[in-house]
Amino acid sequence: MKYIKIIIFNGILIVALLIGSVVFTPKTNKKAFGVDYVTSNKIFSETKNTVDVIALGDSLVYSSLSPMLIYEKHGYTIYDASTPAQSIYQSYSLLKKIYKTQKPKYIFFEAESLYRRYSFEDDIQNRIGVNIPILRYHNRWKNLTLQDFSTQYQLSDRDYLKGFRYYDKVVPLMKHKKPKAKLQPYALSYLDKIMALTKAHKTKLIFMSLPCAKTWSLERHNQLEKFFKEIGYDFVDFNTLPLNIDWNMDSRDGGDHLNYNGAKKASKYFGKYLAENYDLEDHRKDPKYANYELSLVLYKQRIKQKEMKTDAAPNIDKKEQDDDQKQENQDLISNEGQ
Amino acid sequence: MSYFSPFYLVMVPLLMAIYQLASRKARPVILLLASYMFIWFASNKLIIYILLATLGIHYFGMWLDDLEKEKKAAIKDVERSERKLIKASFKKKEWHVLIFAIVLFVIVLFAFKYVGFFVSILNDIFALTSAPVFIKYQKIIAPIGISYYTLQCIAYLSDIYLGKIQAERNLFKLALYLAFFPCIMEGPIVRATDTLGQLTNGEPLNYHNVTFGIQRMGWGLFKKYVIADRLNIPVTLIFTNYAHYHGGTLFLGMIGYTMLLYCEFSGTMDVVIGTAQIFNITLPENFRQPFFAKNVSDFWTRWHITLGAFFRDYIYYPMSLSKPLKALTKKTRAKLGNHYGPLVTGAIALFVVWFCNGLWHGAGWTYLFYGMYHFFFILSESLTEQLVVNGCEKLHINRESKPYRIFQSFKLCIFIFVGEMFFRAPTVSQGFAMLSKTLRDFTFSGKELLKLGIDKYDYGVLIILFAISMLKEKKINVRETIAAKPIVLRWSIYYAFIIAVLIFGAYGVGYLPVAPIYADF
Amino acid sequence: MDQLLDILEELKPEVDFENSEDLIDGHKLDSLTILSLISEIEDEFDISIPAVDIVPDNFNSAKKIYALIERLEEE
Repeated sequence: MKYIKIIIFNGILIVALLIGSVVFTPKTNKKAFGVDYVTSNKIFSETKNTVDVIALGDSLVYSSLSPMLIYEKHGYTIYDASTPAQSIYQSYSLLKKIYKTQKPKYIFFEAESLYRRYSFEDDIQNRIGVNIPILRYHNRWKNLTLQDFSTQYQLSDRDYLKGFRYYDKVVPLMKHKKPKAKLQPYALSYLDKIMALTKAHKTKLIFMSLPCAKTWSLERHNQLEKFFKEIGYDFVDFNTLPLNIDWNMDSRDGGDHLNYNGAKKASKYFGKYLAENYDLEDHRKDPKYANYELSLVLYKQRIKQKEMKTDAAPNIDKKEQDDDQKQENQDLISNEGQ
Repeated sequence: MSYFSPFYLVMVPLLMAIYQLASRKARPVILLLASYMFIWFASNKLIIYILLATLGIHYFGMWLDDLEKEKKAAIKDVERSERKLIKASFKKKEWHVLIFAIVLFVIVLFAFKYVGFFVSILNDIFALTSAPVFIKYQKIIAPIGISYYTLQCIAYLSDIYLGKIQAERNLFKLALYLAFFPCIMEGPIVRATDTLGQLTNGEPLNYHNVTFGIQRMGWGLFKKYVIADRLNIPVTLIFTNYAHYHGGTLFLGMIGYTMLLYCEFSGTMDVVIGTAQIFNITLPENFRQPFFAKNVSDFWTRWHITLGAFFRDYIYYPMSLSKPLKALTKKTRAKLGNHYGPLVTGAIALFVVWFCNGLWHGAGWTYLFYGMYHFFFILSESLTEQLVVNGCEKLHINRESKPYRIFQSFKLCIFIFVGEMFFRAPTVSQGFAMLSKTLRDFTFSGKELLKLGIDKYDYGVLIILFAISMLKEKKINVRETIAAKPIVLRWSIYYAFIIAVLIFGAYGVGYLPVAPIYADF
Repeated sequence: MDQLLDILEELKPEVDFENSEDLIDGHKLDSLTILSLISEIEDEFDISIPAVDIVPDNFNSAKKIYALIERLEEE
């Protein structure tokens, strides 16, 4: 009798949590107030099966690669599925979700997350958050609306930067401690899952190290080179290629991330690299990709505005950038605690 | 690792399953393994210190016990006059063993916690006297729970010495006594008489203890996630930028910090005691409605009870009843009379207690100040007690009446808020600066309050839920009352509670969780 | 016993010592008062109370305190 009671009690609780989860999951992807990263989440508004390349990873990705610049030049469709301090688990669950609407040909995965501390404890925490959405979105009680009690989702808001983020600040190179070259064992176990996932979807998985003066070292480079060779995957380290990054001019934070100047160089090289090494279609004339054409127009407008207004006008993205900065700082703290 | 981490909350049910499936004999072993796993997760290699401490108390405990046995054998067929001599000589030996062991434990604790502080004092002195010396010192990480289990070791050996308990010869039992995972990180500081007997029972889980334990844990989670974590951002802001705020805001910051500390620590205790209850182990309580205390001295029998009791039983009484202090009491009584006479010795012992209490909380001037602050108020309470009693009688004030009790609580709360402010402030001088600003500029500004990182909804939640929790604090047996209600009502209450914690909890993006405060002491 | 009650009354007039069973557990006697109490008892009855016997159980009621005194007098 007692066991039946326990089961019924928990059963009702689970049902309540499921209903709660539906109510609390954001119904639009406009601004889920900082819980989900808006830019990466807007990939779900893209037309089905139009994104050919996914750049997956942490802040290095959205700081370095501007998909629109590459589209302009080569007509490839790329999206930065990148979030601040993305842990490998987040990469995995984001990619899994992306596969529901997109059929990318290539995934470029930023290898830095293999060095990011990720413990069993973090893993459990992340899993709970993803599987019981009410826990993740609970703070929306402050602005629930009637719409939240239906199951109508309106994921229509598109990002014309395609996940890229624009930063114009210039902070010259600072001194950094030499990073430790220790691959995190728990992260590696997730790497296996990502490899299995991409294999199942017949996507080619390529690993990359984007320009970063802070976390790059020759030791890490050699280690990764050897590691990926052993497991038979492509690895490209942009730190060792002639991108012409000037760390005194091209960084927004003294050598950790690129600013827009640096991103232009990195994106240009990345486009060229794709053209030379991989088999991608030019979609510029294709009517199915009209959305990319439109985005390009908006993107150019925005960059122009930004470049004109630098320093003068209030930065509309200030709050978003502040949030990112907070996240990145947290990341810094947890990484130094290793 | 903390008792509030999702990891812990997932591991407990898992442990429950393993525990229940195991045989009666294997269950204590499982608890010990789980405890060591917990310690390993929290402090890796530093687990060695608790293992050494376990061996230490095992060895010294048996030594004391053997001496006691030898003594009994020696005095068996001896005359009365000689007996006394033999007894005294053995007592002396036992005393040496005890002191040696205690010094050993204290040195280890000292090395981890206080060396940095004293080195910095030395350096300050060198700098003042312009001596060309500077000692370099790198901060080291202390093993988790060392402040707590060191006290447990001292209490255990002292109890054997005093003849209150017999030494435990089973190393395994002692290991579990010292390492039991619910209380390893933040106490309660348990005595051998509290848990040593129950830990190895291995009784199967039972419905009553499991449900009550889980409910207790839930209540703790509520206090931590809904109240303490929500208060953390404004309190942190107020204490770091105190110069930018009005005195009224600073005052609210003091209250906020005291509430945060209370909800964090007593919430942890709820999780700890609840976890232990699930496994049929009763731990001593650490809190008993502290804000309803009559005065500061009463407060300390209600707040962090096991720490206060440790200092009372192992420092205060032994010291004030030691020969030199007893002699002093005699002298002062002859001069100052019955009431004020013993206060002199009492004050000396009290001073030592509060010095140790301050120091135990951490190596720093703010903590020492905190100890002295309480010493001062407890002593002045005792000194003025007679006056207050007489005064009340003259003014015909009934000291048991409600208005007087409310006045007492109010006065006490102010003392406590100010005390905890010094406790939280990074330096004593900042504490004074904040206090003087509060007194000089006691104005409130609604605008300022909304700029503290929490919005009006958060304030609403805080006010409503704090009122509810105070009601709960007043009536301790809420759980029994609820358990007696019909099932539909009872379950509705549980569901409402669980969902309230999940929704109104201040976790996730936008909040800054409180780090376990008492785990650092 | 009356002697003891006199001492107690003098220390804490507001407590009903004859009927209280929870002097310590009920927090009616604080630690400083206990110190005064001990020194008075030691004087009055010419005994010495060792630290081992300072446990709540021995001080919870006037009866128990008296029992302790009697025991120590015999030793």
